[in-house]
Amino acid sequence: MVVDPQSHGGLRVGCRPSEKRSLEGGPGKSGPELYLTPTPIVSPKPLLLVLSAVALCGAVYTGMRPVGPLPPLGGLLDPASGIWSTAGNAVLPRNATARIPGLQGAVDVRYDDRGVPHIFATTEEDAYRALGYVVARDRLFQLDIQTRASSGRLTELVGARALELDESPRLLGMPRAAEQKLAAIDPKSESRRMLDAYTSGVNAYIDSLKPRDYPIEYKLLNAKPERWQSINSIHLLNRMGWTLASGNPDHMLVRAAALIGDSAARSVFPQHTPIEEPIQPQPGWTAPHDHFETIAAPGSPDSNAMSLSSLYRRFRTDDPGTESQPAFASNNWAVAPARTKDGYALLAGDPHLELTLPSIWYEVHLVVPGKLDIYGVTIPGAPAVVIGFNRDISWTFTNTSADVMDFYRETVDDSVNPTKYKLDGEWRPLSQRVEQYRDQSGRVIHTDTVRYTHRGPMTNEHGHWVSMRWTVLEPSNELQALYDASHATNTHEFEDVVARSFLAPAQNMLVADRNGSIAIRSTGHFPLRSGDGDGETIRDGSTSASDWRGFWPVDKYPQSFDPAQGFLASANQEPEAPRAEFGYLGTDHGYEVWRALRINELLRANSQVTPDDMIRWQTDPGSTRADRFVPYFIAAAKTERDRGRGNAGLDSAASLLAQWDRIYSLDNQRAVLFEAAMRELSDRTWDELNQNGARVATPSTAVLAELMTQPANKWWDDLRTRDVAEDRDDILAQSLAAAYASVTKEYGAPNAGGWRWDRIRFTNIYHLLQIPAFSALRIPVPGGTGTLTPSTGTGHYGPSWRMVVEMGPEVHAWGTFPGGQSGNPMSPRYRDHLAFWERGKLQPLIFPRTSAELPANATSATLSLRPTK
Amino acid sequence: MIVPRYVARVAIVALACAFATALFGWMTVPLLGFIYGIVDRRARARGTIAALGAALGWLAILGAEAARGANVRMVAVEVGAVMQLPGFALVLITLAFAALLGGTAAVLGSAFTRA
Repeated sequence: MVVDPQSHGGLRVGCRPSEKRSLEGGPGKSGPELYLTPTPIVSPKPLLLVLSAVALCGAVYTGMRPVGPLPPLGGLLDPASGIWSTAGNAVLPRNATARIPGLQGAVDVRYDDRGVPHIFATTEEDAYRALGYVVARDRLFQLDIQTRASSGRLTELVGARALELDESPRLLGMPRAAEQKLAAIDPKSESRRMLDAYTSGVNAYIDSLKPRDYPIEYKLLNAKPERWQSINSIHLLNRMGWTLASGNPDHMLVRAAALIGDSAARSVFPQHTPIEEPIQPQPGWTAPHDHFETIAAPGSPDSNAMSLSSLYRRFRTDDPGTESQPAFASNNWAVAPARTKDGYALLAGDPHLELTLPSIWYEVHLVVPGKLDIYGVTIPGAPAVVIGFNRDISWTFTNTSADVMDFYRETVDDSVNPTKYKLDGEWRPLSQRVEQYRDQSGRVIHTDTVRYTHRGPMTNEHGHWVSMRWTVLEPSNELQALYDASHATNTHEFEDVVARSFLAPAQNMLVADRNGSIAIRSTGHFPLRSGDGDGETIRDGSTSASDWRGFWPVDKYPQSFDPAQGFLASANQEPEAPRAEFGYLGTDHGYEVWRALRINELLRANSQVTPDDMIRWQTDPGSTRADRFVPYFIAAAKTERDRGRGNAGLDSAASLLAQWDRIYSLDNQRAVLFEAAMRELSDRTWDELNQNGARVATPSTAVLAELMTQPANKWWDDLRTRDVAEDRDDILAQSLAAAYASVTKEYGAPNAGGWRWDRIRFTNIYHLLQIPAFSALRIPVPGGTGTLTPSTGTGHYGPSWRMVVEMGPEVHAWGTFPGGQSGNPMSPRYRDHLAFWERGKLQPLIFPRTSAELPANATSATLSLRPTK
Repeated sequence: MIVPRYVARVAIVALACAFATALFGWMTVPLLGFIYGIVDRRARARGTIAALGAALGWLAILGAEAARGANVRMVAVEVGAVMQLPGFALVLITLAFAALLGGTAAVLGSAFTRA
């Protein structure tokens, strides 16, 4: 080895040229002589330097700043704290310990093999503190985005593109209402103490996070979680009120009247459904009642209604299309011991809501020895079990289709910038609240001034000022109701405690207890109005005589305790038969009646009900709607043939429809034809309700069924054929033939496989940010419009939680929801329940009294929570 | 011995990048690349060494995550799908990003020395 004497810098290792040859294997040569030579400093070429500088600047810039829709790439791609670290948080550690400020004692959390945390605490506050912690641990982003959406603060997360979404809750007065509700809660009440404990639990988790631990959505949005506040839970409950009690069909009546006159409009948008199967059982009824009347023919436009319809701009819900079938719906039913095989009360519930990933529900079990032992589902962000059971009772809700939102045309001092409104001849000041919308950096990007009368928020609708009163905005304490419910021990106690505090959104609260009692009560504030008492018009705001007079007394709520028929069922149908009704509750066009008919039909036919029956019925694909309409189609085809107007297509369609068992099973190949025929029928029948080529309102299919009994009614006339007056059978036959043509064109020949229901109707469960990769799309499910497990066209809605409980000496329960416990899309628990949900299977719910009762082989992880030192 | 020394340089840079990223974040990669460019000023392929080192450093972190049981492949597939990319492309982009940061900074660092 030699060293180059010319060296003046680094060393270079090499070998001399001659020795290179020897390395090639020349005989008799010794090994190569290595040398070290100093290497010169190598400087990069100028072009390389420039390119490197530009590339580095570009990389650092895109690393630090968002480019287009992309977040800064540096933080995103960082393998230690960016998206990649999400994988490390996907599975809860087998054993973990955390310290929580304010904890009064040790709390042991055991996750079962379905990922459900069983929380064993020594005080109720600790149990709810732990609940906040574990919910945040699994669902932090969901907590955050749900409450931002409820309070109109999405722009702070995603910028100006969410401005329109944020304006809705603020202009409805929801943030203000949340503040007022929170301020009205007694600080010493159990609900407030649990609320604050929950908040501290959520914040203990948030405070423990490093950036690498943030849920992946924050990384994609280049955001971070903010600390939780107790008011967020109130925002969340208000959001549920908005979802469930903001349906305001008043505008449909008004818009219909504008086109066809008041009499005809009231005839096709009646207050009471013409097919009656009320929630509150009617003495002596053993079947639903058809209460059909002659439907008034469409008349002349009503100019007064025309001017009124413009006032509903902001509050209008769009016409759902061919049929009035609100997407939000639910089922529940209970069976008394006399009609169950094992002699124990049974209860089933499945709230139908928008399906999302992660799910709206989170399963949990809270145990405080001697005080609390409750299992059920909570909404992430709400310190309460909403639907569930304890050792004595089980309960579940469906939405009550009540009219709890009214409008008033106000007289103001200035049509552009009002500061006062007139009431009983005197000017009253409007209270004003400036709503500021901020972007991610905190910069104000928009402001709104929301004015309030004593009734509620006021908005300008085409130059008219309209105020609104809505039960969801009024002081109430639903958390207290849910807290009290969790401690109730029998049906009467349950119904009484929830009626005290649960005011909105009104719910049909079904309960069963271990003594064999079952009960239901439509619970919530139902306004008492002056005059004719209904809420179907915009009232004169200048007089206090238009104001609500109070609310229905609890003893007048629709309700039933241990009915003689031995079962109770609700599916959002009309709570009471009209003759039993204390006052105006709402209208027919809130929800369709078909699910209620079906479940009552099943319950009446079975006096030996088992939990398996209850589970099977939750996904029953039978359709009373199809039972009602299919015979009319088939008969109409025959009539047309007899009239000499038949054709091959019509005959084929009628023949195919006659083959159908009216079951929306996955493999059935006829439901597609029936659904298409119903769409055609709706389009042809309600054409008088079209304006500028679009339907302004669609009557319920119960009204369509009523119209079926009037074959010569003027409504059957197709406006497009001026020289012909069609009757019912003409329209039915035309609809069926058109449906056959369109279905054949779209899906091929009837028996070629393309008509299978599982190739046509799907459930689509989107991630909260609508990211397809984190969603579960095109899931074939049995059921269709009006079946017990309804499947809407978009597939975005459906049974969000299914539960069956048997109230025996030991409570047995089964449940599932379409998703999983974890909100982390990388987690195996993100969608692990989905397979059960798809197949209509429920999983046994483990309900141990103590942590020792939870079998070791059913424990997937533990979390020990300890007070801070 | 050329190759081992080259490999040793890459390994040292990789180790440094892995630890620095884990502790202080991605911005340490260009910083380390720049420093490497200054320190190892007589190496012929400083940019390449730094680029390879940075990429391998980040790959090591991903490997460590996977060794701890994290489903890195699932992240690649799922997040790749969010960006409408195949899973392997997201891995390549991640490593290329590190390589770009480290390599270009090393080239600039070497020029800085000479000046």
